[in-house]
Amino acid sequence: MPDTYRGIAPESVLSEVEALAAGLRGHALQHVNSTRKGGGVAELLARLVPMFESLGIRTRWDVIDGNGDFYDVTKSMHNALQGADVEFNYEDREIYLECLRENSKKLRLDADVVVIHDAQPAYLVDFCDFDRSRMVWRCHVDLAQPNASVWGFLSRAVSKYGLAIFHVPQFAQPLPIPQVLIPPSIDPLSEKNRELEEEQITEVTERFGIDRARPVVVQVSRFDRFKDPLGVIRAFRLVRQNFDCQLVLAGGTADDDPESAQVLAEVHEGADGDPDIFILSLPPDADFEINALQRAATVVMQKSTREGFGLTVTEAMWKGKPVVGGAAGGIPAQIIDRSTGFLVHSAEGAAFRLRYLLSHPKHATRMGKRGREHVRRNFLITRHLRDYLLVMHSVLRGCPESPIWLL
Amino acid sequence: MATEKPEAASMKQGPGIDSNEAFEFLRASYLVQVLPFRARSLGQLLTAATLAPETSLFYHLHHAFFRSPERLPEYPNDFASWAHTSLGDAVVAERLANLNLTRTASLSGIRREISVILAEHLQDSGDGRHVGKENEFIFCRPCGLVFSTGKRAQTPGEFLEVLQKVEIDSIFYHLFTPRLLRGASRNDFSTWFERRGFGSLSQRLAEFDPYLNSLEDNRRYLMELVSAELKSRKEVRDA
Repeated sequence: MPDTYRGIAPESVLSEVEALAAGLRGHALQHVNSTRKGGGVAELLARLVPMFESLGIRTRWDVIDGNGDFYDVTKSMHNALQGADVEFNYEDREIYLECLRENSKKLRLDADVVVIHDAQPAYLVDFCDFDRSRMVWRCHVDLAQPNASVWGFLSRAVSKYGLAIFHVPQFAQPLPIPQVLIPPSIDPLSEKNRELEEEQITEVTERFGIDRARPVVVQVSRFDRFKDPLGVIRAFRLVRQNFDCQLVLAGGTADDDPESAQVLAEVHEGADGDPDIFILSLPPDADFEINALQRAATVVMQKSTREGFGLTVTEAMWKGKPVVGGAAGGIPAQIIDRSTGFLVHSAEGAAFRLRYLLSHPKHATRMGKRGREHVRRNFLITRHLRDYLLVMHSVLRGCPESPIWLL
Repeated sequence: MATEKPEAASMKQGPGIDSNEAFEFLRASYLVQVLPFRARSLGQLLTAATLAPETSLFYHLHHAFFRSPERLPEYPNDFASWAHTSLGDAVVAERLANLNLTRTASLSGIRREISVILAEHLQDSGDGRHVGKENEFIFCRPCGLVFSTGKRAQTPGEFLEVLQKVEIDSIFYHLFTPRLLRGASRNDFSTWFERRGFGSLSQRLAEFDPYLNSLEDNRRYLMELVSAELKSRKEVRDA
C-alpha cells in the first residue's frame, strides 16, 4: 500500500506506517459503522480497510442493520450532537437501543481492536460480550456544543469504551476515558483530489461559463447558513470595487436538510442575477467537477461561521491554493494564518484578504505552495492510517491512559 | 553512513548513540491526548498550568515547531499565542513568549516561570478577560512511540550528510527532548560530539538557542556549525 503513495505522501509517514504495522502483523482490527455507502465515514473506511489489509493487519468492516425508525432517530441524534435543538424521548431511546440489541446478536466482535464509528452503533458496547478496554469510539461529528439531553444519553455508552477519538480538542468532552485526536484527512488519489490536466479543468469551467482569464474566487460547500454564502457574496462585492473577478459558489442541497433549498433561494436572491456570480448546485457525486473548480480558483474561500472540520480547506490547500477561511470549527486547525491563507471574522475581513491576495499573486502562489506542503505533512490519508496504527498499539499495550512517549 | 529499515523501538529513550558510538537518528510518532484541563481566562490558565502534567507543558511549548517547521511563528509557544490571539493581551503574550527554555533546566522550573509570569500579571491587571468556550485553551499531551529513522552516522562527516536529509522530526527529537524530557544536561548532538573529542563544537551546540529559529533554520545552523568545525580541523591538519 504505501508504495501507491510514494512520492506523494511524506517518506517519513510511510516509513512510520511500515514500522508500526510490522509490530501489529497478525493482529486483527474491526470497524463498525452504520452504512457501507454514502457519507464521509464510509468513504474513509472504503479506502482505509484495504490499506490495513495490505499491511498484514486482518481488518473487517461491519455495518449495522436498521429500519426507517432507527435511522430517523439516529439522524435526530446526529443533528442534536451538532447542536440542534431536537426532542429525544423515551420512545426514541427504545427504538435505538432495541435495534442495537438485535444487531449485537448477529454481530461478531472478535478482533484485537474494535473501532465503533459515531453515534449509530455506539451502544453496542452495552450489548456485546467483548473486552471494553479494546473498544474505541471514533467520533466524526462536531461535538463542540452538543444537545445536552442526547449527549447525556450517548456519553453513558461512550464512557464504557477504552478510548475515544475526536477531530480537534474543542470536540472532546468530559469523559472518564482517555481521549485522543485524529484530524480528518483527504486521499490525494481520489477523484476529488487527484491531479488533473489543464484541459480537464478548462472543460469544466467552460461547461459552467467561467472565464479563466479573469480571477476566480471559489467557495465549495453545502448551501447552509453556517457556511455564510451571503457573507461571501458581500465580500465579493467589496472586492469587485477594485478587481474584475468572478465568484463561484459550488455545492449541493441535502435531502436531510430542509433548510438548504431555502438557503439556495436566498443565495440566488443575494446574487441578484450578477453574471459574474456562478451558483452551482451540484449532485453529491460531482467530485471531478469540484476538483476542477478548486484547481481553477485563484483563491478559495471557506467563510464558515460554524464548521465541523471543513475539509474543503484542506482540499483547496492540497491544490496549491491560498485559502481565506472563517475562524470557526476546524478551520483554524488547517489554515496557518498569514502563512497558508488567512483566518477572518467578517465579510469585510474576507474582502480585505481577498484584495490582498488578488493584488499579490506571487505571495498568493507562495502561500499556496506552503499550504500544499502543510497538507502533505498533516492531512493526507497516510497520516490517518498511521494514527490508527498508533491507536492499535496504544490499546494493545493497554496504556491509552498514559503517554508511552518518553516517560 | 549505514542505512537500515526503520524498526519500531518502543520506549527507546537513549540519546541516540548506539553501542558502536554511532549516532542513531531517532524520531517520535505520537497521538495527541486531550486532558481535562481547560482555561478561559489567565486565572484559569494559571490553575491549569499548575495542575497539568509536565508532558503537557512540553507539548504546548513546542507545538508550534511541528505545525510549521519552516517558519518561526509570531509567538513561539501555545500559551503566548493564546494570550495574544484569544485573550487579546499583548503584554502577557510577550512575557510568555520570552520564557527562556534554554536556560531553564527542567519542566518543573518552566512551570514555575509560567506561574510567576501569570500570577504577577494577574496581580497587576486582574483577571477581567474571558473567552468563550470555542476559544478556550485546552491542555493536551503527546503519547506515542520513539523510532529509529534507520539512519546512523559513524563519523562527523557522515553525521553532516545525514543531518542534511534526515526527517525534520528527528532534529526536533534530538534537540528538544533530551533536556526537558530525558533529564540530560544538553542536546544529543552536543553529547555525541563531546564523546568524540570535539569539545568546542560540543559547547557551541549546547549553547545555541534553538527556540529562536524555525526547525529548518535550526537544521541549517547545525550544519553550518559542524561543517565549519570540520573545515577548521582539516585546515589545521593540512597546515
